[in-house]
Amino acid sequence: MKGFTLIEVAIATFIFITSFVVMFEMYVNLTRASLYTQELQLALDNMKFGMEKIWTEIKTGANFATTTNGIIFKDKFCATTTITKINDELIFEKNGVTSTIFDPKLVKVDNFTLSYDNVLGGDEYYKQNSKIFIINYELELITKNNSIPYYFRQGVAPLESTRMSSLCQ
Amino acid sequence: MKLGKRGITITEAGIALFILLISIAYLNNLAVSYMLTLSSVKERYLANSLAQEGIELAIALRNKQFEHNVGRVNPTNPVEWLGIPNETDTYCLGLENGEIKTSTSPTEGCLIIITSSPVFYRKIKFEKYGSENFASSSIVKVTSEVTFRNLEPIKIETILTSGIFIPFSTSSP
Repeated sequence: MKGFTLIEVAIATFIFITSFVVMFEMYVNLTRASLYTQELQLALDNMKFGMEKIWTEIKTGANFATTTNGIIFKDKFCATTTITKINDELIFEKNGVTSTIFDPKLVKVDNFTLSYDNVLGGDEYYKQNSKIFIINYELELITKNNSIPYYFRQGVAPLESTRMSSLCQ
Repeated sequence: MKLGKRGITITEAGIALFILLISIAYLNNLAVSYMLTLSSVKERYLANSLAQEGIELAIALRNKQFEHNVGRVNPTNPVEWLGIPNETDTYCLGLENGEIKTSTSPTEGCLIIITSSPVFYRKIKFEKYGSENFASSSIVKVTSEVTFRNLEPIKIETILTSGIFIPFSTSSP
């Protein structure tokens, strides 16, 4: 009965090892890509959630004033609300209770700026408040191994901006 | 021990390995395309926000007219409440030096550059909604359209009304 020669065994082993290495490398890449996309998706979801919160608060807010690093206004229940950039985070404060808009482990805030239209000036509410706020964000979506820069822009026209008098005095 | 039992030939093993390799390669390809999709989601989300910004600018422009007309409709130019003269053009709306600027847009839309993103083009169209002529409309349909990378444009529509404006003839200044 004829067995394998040494050369046949060597060739078979070589083919097996090469195939195994290639497959293993592919598998590692696949796992890495899968983890990366999961992390990125998580950061993106967190960012979207935070953005929607900011949009809704400003949309329904009133009595706006900008600060050095953010904005102060009254929410729909007339509670004093601020959104301020402190270090790499956006801090949301309502009635003295603070929280972060984005999870600092997932989203880093490099810059947060607001532009708005000039007010007419006068006694009536609609003359004192801007009709549009454009918010510019410079963010970083954080994953385990790197962070991805993400520039974003939002426009919000507050609902209460044409009132004759403010609901919150 | 039973002798003469046939094992796996090198051809069979090769085919098995080849199938396994193809499967993993295919999965790898899926992972790469998922990453590309995620990158495209980022861009689409930004494009969507820019389209929404266009709508918000149109609302703000309408609300801005309230300051000048104190909420009253001009009988000689009823659609003045909107801040847009006609429905034949598409418009660029933007905020510049604290003013909401309007201008007619080129066919492809107005260029919007956001750092490290593709180039976006936005155009905003105002059309009559209902049976009234545009010039005397009290309800107008606004469409904000954003295009990028030759992909399907993102469109957001809304209805604007002159509800906050009162006709001159029925109110005192």
